[in-house]
Amino acid sequence: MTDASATFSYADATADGGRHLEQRRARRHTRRVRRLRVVIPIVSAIIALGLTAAAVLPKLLPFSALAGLSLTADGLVMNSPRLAGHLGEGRRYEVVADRAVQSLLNPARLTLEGLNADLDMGNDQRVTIHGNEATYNTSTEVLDVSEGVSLVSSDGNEAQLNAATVFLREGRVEGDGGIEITSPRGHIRAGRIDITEGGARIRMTGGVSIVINPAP
Amino acid sequence: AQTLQTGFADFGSDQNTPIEIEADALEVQDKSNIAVFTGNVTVRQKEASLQTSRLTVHYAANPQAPRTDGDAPATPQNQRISRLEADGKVLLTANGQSATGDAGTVNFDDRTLALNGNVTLSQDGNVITGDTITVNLDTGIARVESRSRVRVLLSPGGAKSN
Repeated sequence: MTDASATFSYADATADGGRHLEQRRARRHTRRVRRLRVVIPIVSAIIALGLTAAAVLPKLLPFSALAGLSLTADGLVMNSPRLAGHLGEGRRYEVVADRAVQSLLNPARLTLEGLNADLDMGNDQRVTIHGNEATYNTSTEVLDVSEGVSLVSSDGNEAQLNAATVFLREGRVEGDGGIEITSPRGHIRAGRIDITEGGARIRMTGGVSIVINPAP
Repeated sequence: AQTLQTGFADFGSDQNTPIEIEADALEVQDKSNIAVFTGNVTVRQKEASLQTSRLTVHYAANPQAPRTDGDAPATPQNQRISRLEADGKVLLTANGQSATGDAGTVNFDDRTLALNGNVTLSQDGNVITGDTITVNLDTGIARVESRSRVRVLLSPGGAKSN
């Protein structure tokens, strides 16, 4: 606190005017000290919080690949996350995306960009689902894919949908807003599709038109 | 019984023209290899068309194609249509001829088409009514049968049934 004493001797020499100047400087000094007394603890708390978050968070998040984890305004951003689980009856699913943003307000809610989901639909049928934009709820395991969805199944069928909701746990898919399925055997257009029982039952409504090509 | 030549042979006459089906809704039951169309169902193949309110499509594994293990999915490479069953008022039309009945079956395996229940067959103004019509899909020859009597109404000046 050396500079305080230095100003004191200067004030002597100029009598009254000097004393006034000196009091103002002293008041400014005490304000600065009071501010520092508040600011320093806050800064240290933030640093401490950041350190614990960086240490603790990776253990909380169920993602195996945590490379490229960054904290941004709209939430925790994971680059090329990978997420795997089971669909019931031993059927596996895996969800991979270019980017996943986990909202800090509701950690179970993920926004996925450039999404690829791979579903085992039972009786060795696999379906891969690609969506440009999707939201995935890790607690209910429901995937909502909007802005264009394509499903490709392992037996050569391909479906383009406007939007689809995938209930991963039940192996169920709902898609509305128009669907087009093309397969070696022909193609199908419908307004809405509901795939249940792991793909064993498919219901299409809202007008259906089908062209079945002759058997090979 | 009354037999005459019809154009209904178009239906599945050859297995290399596509079949088009339109309806309000469709349910595919993979385990039982059937697909059920409901609501304004129209089936078209070349010049022939069949309209009904409910159509069940039966798939059969294609003997030539290698069987995949497990039951085959809804529209796999190796399954083809073996039978169409229409119930709920059927209208069949093929280049100028039409036939109606309460229900109908198109059997691609044994190459027959059958309509039964209040059947009428009209061709160039001639109308035949009876209980059932069976059409041989290869020859197009139709046989109208009736428990009571087959009634034939020939319109004068109408083209003779060839």
